[in-house]
Amino acid sequence: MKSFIKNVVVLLVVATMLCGLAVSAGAQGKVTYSEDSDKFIFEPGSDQSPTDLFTEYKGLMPGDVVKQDITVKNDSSNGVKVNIFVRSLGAQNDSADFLSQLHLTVAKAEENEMAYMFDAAADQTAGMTDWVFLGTLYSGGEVNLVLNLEIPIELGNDFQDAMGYIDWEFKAEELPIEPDDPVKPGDSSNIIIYGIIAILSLFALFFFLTKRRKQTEQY
Amino acid sequence: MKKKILVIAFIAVCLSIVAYSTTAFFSVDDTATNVITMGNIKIELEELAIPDDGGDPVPFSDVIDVLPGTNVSKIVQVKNTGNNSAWIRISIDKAIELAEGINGEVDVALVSLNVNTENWTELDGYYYYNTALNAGETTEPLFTTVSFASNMGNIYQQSKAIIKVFAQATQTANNGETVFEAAGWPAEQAE
Repeated sequence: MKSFIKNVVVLLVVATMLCGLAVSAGAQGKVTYSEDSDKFIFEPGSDQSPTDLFTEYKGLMPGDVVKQDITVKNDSSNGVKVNIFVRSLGAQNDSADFLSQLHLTVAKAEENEMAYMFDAAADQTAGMTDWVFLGTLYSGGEVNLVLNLEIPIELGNDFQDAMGYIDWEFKAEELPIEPDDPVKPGDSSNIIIYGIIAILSLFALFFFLTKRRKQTEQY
Repeated sequence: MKKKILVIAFIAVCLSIVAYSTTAFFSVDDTATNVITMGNIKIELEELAIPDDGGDPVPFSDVIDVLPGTNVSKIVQVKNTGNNSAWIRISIDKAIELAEGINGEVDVALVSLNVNTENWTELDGYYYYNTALNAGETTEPLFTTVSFASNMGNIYQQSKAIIKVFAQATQTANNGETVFEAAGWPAEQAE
């Protein structure tokens, strides 16, 4: 009996841990919206900025053309549907001279490569001046951005060890779940976990009720 | 005890259902500060010498009272002190200044260097290091000895031999397969 209770408790704890499990970030930049913490999490960060998404844009050399992947994910633990937007606030003041030398493009990975949301000098806000709609993401849903940065081969010694700061603002608008909304992978995983908890609890309830009835009948 | 467990199990059922069905509607925004950094190319010209009594090389200092037929230790090499691989080249400017009041035509060939032609290649007035020099590495010496010819005549008494060494570097990234294809050498010479 004790071992059964112990097993049930362990299963419940494991299920609860799975609910809050955060997948660790890879080398790419990662933006995670979490309804639970009511904020965005930017990873992996860098020595220069804790919210840095540009992992590949370090120690660049003239003539480099470097790709950067950024994943934006809705990591809310229940059926939360959000509209995700991004906009550029441009280069920080002391970075403009350096960043104006570089050319940056930004596109959604799923779309045609020519459909850039940004295609300009890196210090500009250009196509990302206003909010750009990235997509409607259900729990577990994600959208991938592909960036390409070109460093002109003519860039002179004045820019050795140069450093440029670009601010990007992300916004999540939470929406009500509609009856005809498609079930996304993230949603289904939560349903399964909550289902397991419910079934285990019902099983425990049934077990104890049966046991109690037997004991009552004996007396 | 059993009653408590029953209550807990019931609450768990309720919570699992409530947690799935509960939603809140709001918006949130936050800013990521992204950083782009450039690399660098940095070198250091090293001029060393083996002390007369032997031992490890020490920084080179001017040598005085050198007689014809003498070899003077002078080791010239380049260290990559930056973060990126670099192509390296060196130019040498030799000169002899006669003592005050002495006139005559000098022959700089009387002061010679034992140039390392295995690792360095002379082309268009420069000695090019044959391979890329990675960050933190040091080249093989361009030369290790300055020799003063034994047939240097009296006009060279109290004269001064000046050997100026200039080292340059350019990036290997996106810049040719060999040092001879490289572009972007500095316009100014670093001594």
